[in-house]
Amino acid sequence: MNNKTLKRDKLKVIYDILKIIREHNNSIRATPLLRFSNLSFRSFSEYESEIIQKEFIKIIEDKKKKKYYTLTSKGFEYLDKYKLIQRFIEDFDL
Amino acid sequence: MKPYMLKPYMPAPNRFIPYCGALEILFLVLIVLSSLYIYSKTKKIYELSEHKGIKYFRYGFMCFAISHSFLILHSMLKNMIFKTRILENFFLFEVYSWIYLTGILFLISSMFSDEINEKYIYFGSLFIFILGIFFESKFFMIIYSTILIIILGIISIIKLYKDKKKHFSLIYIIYILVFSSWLVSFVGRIFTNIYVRGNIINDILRSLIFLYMAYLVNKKLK
Repeated sequence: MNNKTLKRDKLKVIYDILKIIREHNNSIRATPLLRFSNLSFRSFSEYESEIIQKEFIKIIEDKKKKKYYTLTSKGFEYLDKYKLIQRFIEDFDL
Repeated sequence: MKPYMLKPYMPAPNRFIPYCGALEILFLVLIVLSSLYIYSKTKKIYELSEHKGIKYFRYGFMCFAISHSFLILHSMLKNMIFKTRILENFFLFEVYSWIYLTGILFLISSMFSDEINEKYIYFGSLFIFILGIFFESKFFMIIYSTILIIILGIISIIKLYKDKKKHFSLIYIIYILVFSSWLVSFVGRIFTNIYVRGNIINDILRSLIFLYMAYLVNKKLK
């Protein structure tokens, strides 16, 4: 697998993580998210910090102090524009 | 004594030449606007993806917008405002060439974004610029363009062979851009009296390419 494929995969992995959160009523805990995303703990941690830093998701706490991931407006925007970005990259050979 | 007897080597006056300055500026403005449009249109997808290829693609068009702005200034100083050739020597053409080549390097790098670091692009273009200043500028441009055409030609053939179903590739656009400049420079070197016409044809061709690119980007990002 070359670097270009890995790069595309990275965009796809972020898309998949965000999609899982959206499909769970925009609120999911870390353990099921890790399980559904089919990633190793290490990879998941890397992607998690990246998408938090990019402000695609934020962590909220309920009354019992349990942590949940939820999408931000930027995260929703990424989901909307993902196919467009992917097509743009493919069409222009980027 | 008739004037042609004094300077028999001078080419016959060309009625087309006085209009070239205004036409040139018009087409250059089109190129600047198209490049800025592409740069702004791709802003959102870059902010979301932070994809290196998109970043280089945008930087390439920003370089084209800046370089052609310098060319507009160069053309205005030459043809419109002062009608003198003194200001031509203020490195405006060299600065244009340098930034334009950086743009070409960015566009090529956008296709190999994972392998090429941004620093190498700046370093490479600076190196070419220094060589261009060190040697005679236009002659160096022809040599550089010829090498670039050969490399791009090889990549294009490989691309054409690999993706037979795909009719569009950024590499073909880059190839046309470099090839048209090369042709004009080459022709201009040999036949100086048709250089002006060649240059205006190059500007028209280039503006059409940039408009087409702006159209494509707009279509893909609708």
